[in-house]
Amino acid sequence: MPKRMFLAILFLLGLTVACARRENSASVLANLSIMPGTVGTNDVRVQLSHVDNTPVVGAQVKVIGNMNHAGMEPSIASLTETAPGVYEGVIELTMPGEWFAIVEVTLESGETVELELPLPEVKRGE
Amino acid sequence: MNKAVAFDLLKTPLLGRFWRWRHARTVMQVPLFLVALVIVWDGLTGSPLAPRNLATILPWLHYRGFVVLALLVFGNAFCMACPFMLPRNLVRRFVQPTRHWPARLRNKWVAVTLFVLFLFIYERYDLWSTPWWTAWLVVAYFAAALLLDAVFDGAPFCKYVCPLGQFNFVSSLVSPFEVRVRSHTVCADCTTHDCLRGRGTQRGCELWLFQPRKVGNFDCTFCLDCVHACPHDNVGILARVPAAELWFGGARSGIGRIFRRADIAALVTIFVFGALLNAFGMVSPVYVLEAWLADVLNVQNETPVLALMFVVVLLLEPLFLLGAAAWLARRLGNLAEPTVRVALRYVYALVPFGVGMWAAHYAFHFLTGFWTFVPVVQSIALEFGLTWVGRPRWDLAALLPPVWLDPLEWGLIGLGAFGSLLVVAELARRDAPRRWLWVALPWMGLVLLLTLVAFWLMGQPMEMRGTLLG
Ligand code: SF4
Ligand code: SF4
Ligand SMILES: [Cu+2]
Repeated sequence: MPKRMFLAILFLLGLTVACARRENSASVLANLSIMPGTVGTNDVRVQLSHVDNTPVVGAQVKVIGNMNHAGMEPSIASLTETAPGVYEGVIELTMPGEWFAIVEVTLESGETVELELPLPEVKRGE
Repeated sequence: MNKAVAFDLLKTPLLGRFWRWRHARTVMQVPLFLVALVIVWDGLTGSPLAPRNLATILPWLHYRGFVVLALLVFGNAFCMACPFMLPRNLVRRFVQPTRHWPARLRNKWVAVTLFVLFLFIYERYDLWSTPWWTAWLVVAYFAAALLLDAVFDGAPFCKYVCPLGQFNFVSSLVSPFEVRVRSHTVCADCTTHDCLRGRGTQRGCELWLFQPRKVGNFDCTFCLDCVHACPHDNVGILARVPAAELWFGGARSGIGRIFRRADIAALVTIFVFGALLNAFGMVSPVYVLEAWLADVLNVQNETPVLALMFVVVLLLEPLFLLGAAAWLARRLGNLAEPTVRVALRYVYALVPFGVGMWAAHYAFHFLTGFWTFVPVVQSIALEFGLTWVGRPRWDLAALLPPVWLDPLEWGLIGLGAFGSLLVVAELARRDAPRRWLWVALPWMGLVLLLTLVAFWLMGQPMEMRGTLLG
């Protein structure tokens, strides 16, 4: 029994490294810009297009800013469409450092897409 | 220490019954071992972004938070359920090491070095933001525990090597419970000493703590082997006055006199000043200081800058502060002992403050980031096609409203500082019954100074960058 348990543990350890993870390929392309990129209130602008380069219109877009360190309070912004495929809003960045954004898109069809985008390093405010 | 019949956790109906069962520790270890596997798996194969990976969330938020909170209300709960000891115990069923841990290494110096190294690597490579390195750290931990304990008998890894264990041993000095004999008269009539030697297949204390002469929590992993080994059912988990063992200068089984042990004093020093340094690593001023130091040293690389900071904060500053306080106390109180001896005793008074500082810091991360594992688990489930879990809730994070955190942190630091002041007073009363206040004064000043530093740190804006320079 112990021998078998030992083998089982070895097997589990092996599995741990062997399991490949699925990469999801996005059906929507996003371009994100943030101004001024300092601590405090920032304007965030996301441009969405389909793979065939046509703008994504009528979607619901949410941006969640998160730090590259576990457990910090995320910042959330709901964007509104200001031009076809262009979504804008404001986001509050709470501290300087490395951030990234998760963009949650709900297409008109009801399909949801999640994108992960890097943000430029957030600087201290004035 | 306290003679009255103490409250005994092993006599409680549910928990006590469970812990009295021989396989209780294994049952606690298995889930943590599985979590460790998940951490390694996600860390090596999942997202490289810290908040999207369980390898960074679970160890750096949940494990650390849980460990300090459990130490505050109970005792050394992590060692009790330590997953690293599970494969090690399994291997021990086939391999019975006969070699003894080298006599020269039977002290805390290796562990102190590893503790400093760990703090350094944590800062230098920003472990908190790298799932991949965190996963490898866990693997290395398993390997080291397995290897050392397969070669040497007893539990040398826990006692002489493991930095996490040392953290727990020091913190548990202020814990409200300890594994202790219920009646010394029963021990006096005992001839077999199974709590140390073991009985049949039941191990005795692998950390070489002999129950009748064991004092306090230092070096105790709460593994409960002694509880199961004692044929007279004379060992319990008893309530006690937290921190009272810090002014006990007598001999302790398996340790000796802590007031004569420079290695343990060094460990305690690193523990206390490391608490401040670790918190300093995540506030804005650290980046200003590092940039300035890099400029002065004329280097681009972070390693020498950080190394300098470590030398100053963990070596020069404590040497100066402890030396000055000890020297003053000796002068003011007309103590006969050399200054070093005074420092070796009073440094233990700083432990409650250190615990308070670590607790405030880790409780902060634990409470602000508690729910962040939910969206990560959701997205892993989605990867495996379990769509019913729904869209990952990336907005989840804090367990408590942020306004509660400041008072909590200040409270924990204040409580620790208060504990330290009490220990200073107790030590001083034993040193100079008439002039105790004079002896205590410099040490109380030191405690207050460190507390002010801690409050200042907590008030600084946080900043989170991978590289401190640039
Ligand atoms: S000392 Fe380290 S290895 Fe030993 S039980 Fe504690 S955490 Fe585990
Ligand atoms: S005294 Fe030894 S055997 Fe008993 S719980 Fe502590 S470490 Fe384990
Ligand atoms: Cu921190």
